[in-house]
Amino acid sequence: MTLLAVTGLGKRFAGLQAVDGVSFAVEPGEIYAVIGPNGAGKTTLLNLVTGIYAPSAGRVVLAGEDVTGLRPPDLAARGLSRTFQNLQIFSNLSAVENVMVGAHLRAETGFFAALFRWRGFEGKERALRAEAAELMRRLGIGELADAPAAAMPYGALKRLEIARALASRPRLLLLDEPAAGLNPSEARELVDVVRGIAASGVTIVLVEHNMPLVMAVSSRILVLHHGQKIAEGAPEAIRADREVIKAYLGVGRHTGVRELQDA
Amino acid sequence: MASARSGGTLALAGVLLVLPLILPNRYFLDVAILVCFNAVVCVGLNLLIGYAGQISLGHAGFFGLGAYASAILSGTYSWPPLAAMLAGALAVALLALVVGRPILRLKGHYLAMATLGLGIIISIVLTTEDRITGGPDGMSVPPLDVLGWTLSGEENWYWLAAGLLLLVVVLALNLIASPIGRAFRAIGSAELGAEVMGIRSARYKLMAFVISAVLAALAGSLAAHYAGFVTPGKVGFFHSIELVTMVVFGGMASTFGAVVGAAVLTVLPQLLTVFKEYEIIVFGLVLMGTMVFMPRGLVPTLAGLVGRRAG
Ligand SMILES: Nc1ncnc2c1ncn2[C@@H]1O[C@H](COP(=O)(O)OP(=O)(O)OP(=O)(O)O)[C@@H](O)[C@H]1O
Ligand SMILES: [Mg+2]
Repeated sequence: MTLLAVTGLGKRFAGLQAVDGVSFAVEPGEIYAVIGPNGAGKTTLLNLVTGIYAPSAGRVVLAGEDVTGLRPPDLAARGLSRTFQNLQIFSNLSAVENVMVGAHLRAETGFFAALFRWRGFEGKERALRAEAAELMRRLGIGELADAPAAAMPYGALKRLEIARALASRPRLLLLDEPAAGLNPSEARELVDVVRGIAASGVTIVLVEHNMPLVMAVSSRILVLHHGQKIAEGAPEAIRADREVIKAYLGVGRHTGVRELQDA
Repeated sequence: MASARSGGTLALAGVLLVLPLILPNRYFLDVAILVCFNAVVCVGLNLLIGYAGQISLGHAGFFGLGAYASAILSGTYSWPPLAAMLAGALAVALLALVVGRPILRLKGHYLAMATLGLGIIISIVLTTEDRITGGPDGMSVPPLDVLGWTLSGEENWYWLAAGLLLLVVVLALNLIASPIGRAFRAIGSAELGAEVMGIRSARYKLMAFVISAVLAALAGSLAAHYAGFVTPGKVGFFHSIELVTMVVFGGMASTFGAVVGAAVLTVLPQLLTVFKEYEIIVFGLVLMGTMVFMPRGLVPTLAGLVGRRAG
């Protein structure tokens, strides 16, 4: 069954149609990329799918259930998780605690159990912490487990957000520009990270400007331009698509057509 | 983390144990009791302000409701003081629940204004309902009497207040180190991220609000019995500001900071009795100075300095 089906999704901000009638479907096990020039509406699309914005048009169906307009915690409970382009790190928690928050829905305890550390509370916390530390190791930041999140370098924070999202054991993980701000070698490592996550059974929606990464991992690519879907298809087809090349030529440097072609 | 927590608790227990031995006279013991009551309020308020990141400028109102509930129910209506205290705490919990739901949707300045308004309304009601509350003159409160045994004398009151403070600190630390506390802190630093991780932020903000209100009410009840008298003075806007200043000065998101802040800013005005009139100015200066020179507050700043020196 299709995991995520989006139909006619639209979002209007005062005077600006940020997302305009976008439809697509993501099948289980896919790595589905969303690309497009700056301001194309990629982040807004993720915000609509994850319940941060209510859409002004269209529907979002997750595993057969209409989830349009549900709030983020409701979607988290249904197996959705994501990372943020402009990090949403819990800066007053340690790194490993950030990841533990990712497991919040499994970790929730009764008020009095927390207050008096009753009924296997300690054991549960220890197991949770160990699991979070293991996730950090998987993402190559294991040595930073006890660091205050506020003191971590940018590249590590990007990985921390991925670990935190994985801690919720999502069915569908949406990554908003995981490679942005990383140095080239860190960005290359991301290829294996993303593939590894997909291999563990998590379906991925990847928003990204880094074309080598997109071309290396995606099964299909959706191209947005001015909030509209202008192309969808396999990486090779997208690379050769006239509309796509035109859209990227129009915006020039930042995500140039060269990157698209060279990747 | 765990060791720092138990170390801090042990240190606090040590200080509380030794204090009555080294304090020169009853007057100081009296101040120490007030410190403990204020610290109980501040530890609760810190859950809301420091950890969950939500301001309240109305907590003196909850303190006052606890105090007046005890005064009226155990005085006028001759309830057993413990029952009066619990009824007061329960009523405050319900009020905080009902009022918190709409106002905690507000953010920043708007939330500050709404809680300010709440505190002012409570203060005005307590002042104007003079047939029940004695109005501006206040009313007397019977001694704290538990199952026929009456608590009296500064020493005994001190042990009660210190014991309560220690208990509240331990429970607060437990809560902070639990999924609930992590949810508070997550909301306090990145609410959107918290929501996406499945945290229903409205629910957790409300929880922090109610907990802090109930602790304020309990401290208010005890303070009323201890003083034997309540007046609207400790219910008003200025006392709310005092409480927030204690939390901010001691250190937001630091439970021991809240205790230290309450201690310093309860003792300071006592030392400056000559300046009694200017007390509000002193608090204003402390608040401004803290924001400018150590925005993280005293205890986190000192801990940071020590940590850096240690390596
Ligand atoms: N909350 C908002 N209010 C008003 N306008 C917004 C809001 N969020 C986004 N926009 C606008 O919507 C358009 C799409 O923005 P969006 O962030 O979705 O683009 P993007 O494709 O993610 O771009 P980038 O590659 O730079 O991250 C932009 O013009 C942006 O200015
Ligand atoms: Mg974006």
